[in-house]
Amino acid sequence: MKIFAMLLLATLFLTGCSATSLGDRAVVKAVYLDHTEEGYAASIVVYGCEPTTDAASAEGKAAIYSGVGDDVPQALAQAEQQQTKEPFYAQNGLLLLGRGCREKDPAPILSYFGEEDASRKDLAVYLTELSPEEFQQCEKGISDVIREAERLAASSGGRGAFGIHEAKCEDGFSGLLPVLRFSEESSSATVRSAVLFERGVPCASVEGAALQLASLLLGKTSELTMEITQGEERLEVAVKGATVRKNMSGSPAEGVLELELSGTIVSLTWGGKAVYARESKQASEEVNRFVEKLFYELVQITFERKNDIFGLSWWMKEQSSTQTAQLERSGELYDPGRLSFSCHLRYE
Amino acid sequence: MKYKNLPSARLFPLLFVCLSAEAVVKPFTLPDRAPAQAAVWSELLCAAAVCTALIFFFHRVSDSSLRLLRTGRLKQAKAVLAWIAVSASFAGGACLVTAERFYRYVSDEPTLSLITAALILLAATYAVSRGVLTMTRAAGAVCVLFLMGAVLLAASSLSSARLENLMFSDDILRKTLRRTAFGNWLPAELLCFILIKIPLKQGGSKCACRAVAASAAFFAVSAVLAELVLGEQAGALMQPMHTLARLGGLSVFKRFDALHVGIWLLVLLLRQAFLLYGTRTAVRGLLPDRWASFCIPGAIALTLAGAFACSALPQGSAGVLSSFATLSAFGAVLLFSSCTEVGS
Repeated sequence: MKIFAMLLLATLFLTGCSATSLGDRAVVKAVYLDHTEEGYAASIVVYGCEPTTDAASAEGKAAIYSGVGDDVPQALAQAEQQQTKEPFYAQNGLLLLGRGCREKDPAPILSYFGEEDASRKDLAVYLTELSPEEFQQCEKGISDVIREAERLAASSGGRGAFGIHEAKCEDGFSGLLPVLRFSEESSSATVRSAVLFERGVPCASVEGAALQLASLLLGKTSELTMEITQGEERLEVAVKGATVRKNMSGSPAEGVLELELSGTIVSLTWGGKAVYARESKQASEEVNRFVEKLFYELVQITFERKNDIFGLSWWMKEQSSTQTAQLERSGELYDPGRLSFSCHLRYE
Repeated sequence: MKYKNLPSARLFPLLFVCLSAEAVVKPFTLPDRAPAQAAVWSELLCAAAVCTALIFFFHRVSDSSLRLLRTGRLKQAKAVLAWIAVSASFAGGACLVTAERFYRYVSDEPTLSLITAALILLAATYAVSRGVLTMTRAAGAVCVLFLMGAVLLAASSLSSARLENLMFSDDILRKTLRRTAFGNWLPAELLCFILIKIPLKQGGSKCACRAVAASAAFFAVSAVLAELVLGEQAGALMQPMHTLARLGGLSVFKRFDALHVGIWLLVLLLRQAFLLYGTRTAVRGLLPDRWASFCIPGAIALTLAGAFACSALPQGSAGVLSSFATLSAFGAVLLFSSCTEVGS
């Protein structure tokens, strides 16, 4: 028994001293990929670090290395070979898709990173408006862009961004990809719009209040910040604690899915001035009407076109999956008449 | 340390942890692509069938016939013990293969497979040499860590969970039966359980049935949690719980997967030790007293043979074969018990 105990204690010396040290690794903080005419273009953003630094605090000078290839792995391998260190992807939290992915299906790229053990499962995916050449010019301010993108992704308890694990790519990619805006001149990164994909084809751009409502319906946020333009005046609203309650009244064949949005308006300004008691009721009703109209506009470009990214048909299947399947086969499932949306935001 | 009769309640953590190991670290076979609905029904069916079979088994088999079986004095006992040794060593070999592959899967720079397998067997051998009493004490601590880890995993994943990710299926019966048929529906740990000196009629059967039921509930909850977060991807992944562990976070704390992997490796070690214990006990009964010191090396050799056999089999068949081997071993024990009682 002493022999066993000694042998087991000896395993304490297996400390991995021969492993590649951090100083000899290229810490990849972001990956950029885009379609090209020949195949794919890839760029990796690598942070330099001192040998004694831990990976999480690798900062300092960022460098962009690029490559091209017939497929995604080849393009990435080419980019990695532009530098001499072994790449380390455990700190890579961002996947940036180039301008070409707004015209061609990003499913092959998303499927590659969505494979098991291929990447961090909380990899945040953003579309950009940059071509591969334009992205390579952004080396100077890329650290700030990455920091801001990571902050956006970590918002709302980590649900803020589109995660790679959410990508559904069976018949081409369907979903809403946020667009991260930055450039060589401006390194401040913002998300003001998203591109709606329908089976691999970009079909609409969603921005402003519609994007906020879409994020709420996708469970990514519980806050809304909207600007409603009414003639020459502008209504600015900030909502907190927004939730959407869903209830299927009746069977899928005859019933209606009732959605009720509720929340608290914490800030309301009309024409630049704060709204007080007498006008608040009118302003709240205006906001509610606006949000209801916005919902049906979103339904028109998603649910009605059988691109149910919000999972509304799930509530019908939950009642009766057989009836829902029959309705889907007969083409009657995605009728907007099956939905009823009401908004009850209150100003307090 | 010798013991007369181990209180059966102390075995619950050991049995529960061993039976639940495959819920967190799946064998590296092709994913079954079954929705969580099918997984829940499959676990309920298996648990009900296994518990019924166990109650029938413990009702028919007497403690005295099991004592006779463990000594291996009769030729019939040797035949039954040989089959138990084959079943337990095959399951132990499958566990060794899974543990080594999982360690390689989670490592950035993996150690040589031989070194990993040797270390796992070394730790399991040490545990077996310390006795089942020591194993139960260690299992108590591992069980607490395992459950705390499960709660942490659930808490850190719930923010990403969406009800709309749960899948509904029209042919749920076919998917349930398929998942049940190709899974490990009768674990060999139950064979190892009956080889331990416990008063089966005074709580042993309750302990086993409770562990089976608790493990089935754990399997079902983990399948539902995986589908709530990952949707239909959960059924297509080889290690969905590891993916959940990498995805989840609490406040500013991310990457709990390092913590979960540590606990799950402990669970696999314990399972390996328990299966090695069963193999060793069976081999001990086969060998004459003058060769008693060879029972552990013999058990290790059988486990390694089981590991090679498991690696050579087509993907997905190890679990089914192990279940059939365990079922036939239980049948052999029943037959032995009937013969010895008729004879006496």
